[in-house]
Amino acid sequence: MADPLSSAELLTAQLPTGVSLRLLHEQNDGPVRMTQIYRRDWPVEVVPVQWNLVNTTANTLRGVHVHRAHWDYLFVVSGEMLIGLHDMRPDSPTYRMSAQRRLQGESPCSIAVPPGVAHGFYFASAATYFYAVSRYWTPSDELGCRWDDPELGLSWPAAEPLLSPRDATAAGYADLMLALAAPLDRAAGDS
Amino acid sequence: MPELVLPEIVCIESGVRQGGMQIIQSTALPHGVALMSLKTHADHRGDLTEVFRNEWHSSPLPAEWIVGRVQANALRGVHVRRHSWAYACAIAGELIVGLHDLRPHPTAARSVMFRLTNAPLHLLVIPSGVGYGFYAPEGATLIFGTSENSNSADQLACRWDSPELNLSWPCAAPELSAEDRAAGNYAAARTTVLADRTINLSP
Repeated sequence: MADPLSSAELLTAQLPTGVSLRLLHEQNDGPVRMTQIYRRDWPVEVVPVQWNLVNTTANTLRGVHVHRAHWDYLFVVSGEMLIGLHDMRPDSPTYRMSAQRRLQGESPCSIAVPPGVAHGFYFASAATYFYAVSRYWTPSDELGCRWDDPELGLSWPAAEPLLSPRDATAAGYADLMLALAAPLDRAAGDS
Repeated sequence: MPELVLPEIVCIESGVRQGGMQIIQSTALPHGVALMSLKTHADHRGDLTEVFRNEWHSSPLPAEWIVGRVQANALRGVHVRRHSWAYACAIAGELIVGLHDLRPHPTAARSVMFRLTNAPLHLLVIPSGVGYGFYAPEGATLIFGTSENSNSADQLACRWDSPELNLSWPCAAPELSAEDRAAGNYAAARTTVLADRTINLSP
């Protein structure tokens, strides 16, 4: 087995501080192609407590969401995800930086998204992704913003994507900033 | 292909620790092996399935996850882990799973075969000391986790068609990796497992 630290290349340039895009190597073991998508001994800040599998239909946009406490760690199994990121941490050196990247199942990579970095995922075609979270789901850590709010600085290649009811009625950017600044136990949606 | 069916199963609603997860256990399965029936939440955008929650498991937690894309007529295994536990979920296609218990007790030498598909999704939990192989008749994609990072000292390999495994694979000449083609015989794997005091028989 290759040295795990050399088998993946880390890209952080022009991304919000703390976001890490990791290029992964697919190993061709005869009739099986294998990709290590996560190792505990990688220098990844995320310590997963849960892994989810998502199948998504074409022209779907999931987000824009931001968490105050937990990390996300994503891997696209098949298809393509256009991820949009926006740094909403006032104390971050990359505060208000926006970035977008395409993650493809055929070019395996993973991305870690820290708390305070808003993120949305757009799928032009059907896709599957597997992702980890560093804390269990709780409403108080699920904040959102209208996906096409111009303050996000994100350009999505869709005019009318499929959205969840929650995402379709999400607040605007200014309201999200206020919610992010609130103490964790008093956040909107906390129960 | 011979007809393969899931073993007769006993469904047990789990206790609080498993968070309401339904676990399929059976006297036909080697001790500690579990099939966890996963719940998928669907809407107009697609679906989401919680595959693994740490709080569901009292077994060692994954230290590594792999996505494996298996060609048609490929067989991977039979492998056995000396120390680590394994977790497998078929997310596309169908896998035929063969398990064989190499531990000394309480289900020594028990073999079982069943299908693992993505409809519905199941998570298969395999203790250390239980041999496993996966055959993909038409190709498949699986997610595979292990409680220790990959290392050669942890994993043993046994020739897939060793008669002592008592696994009736529905194939005569599957595609194998170089490692699996060079795998040792059953006796060598079992001797190592039996000599290994680190194997934990308690799930």
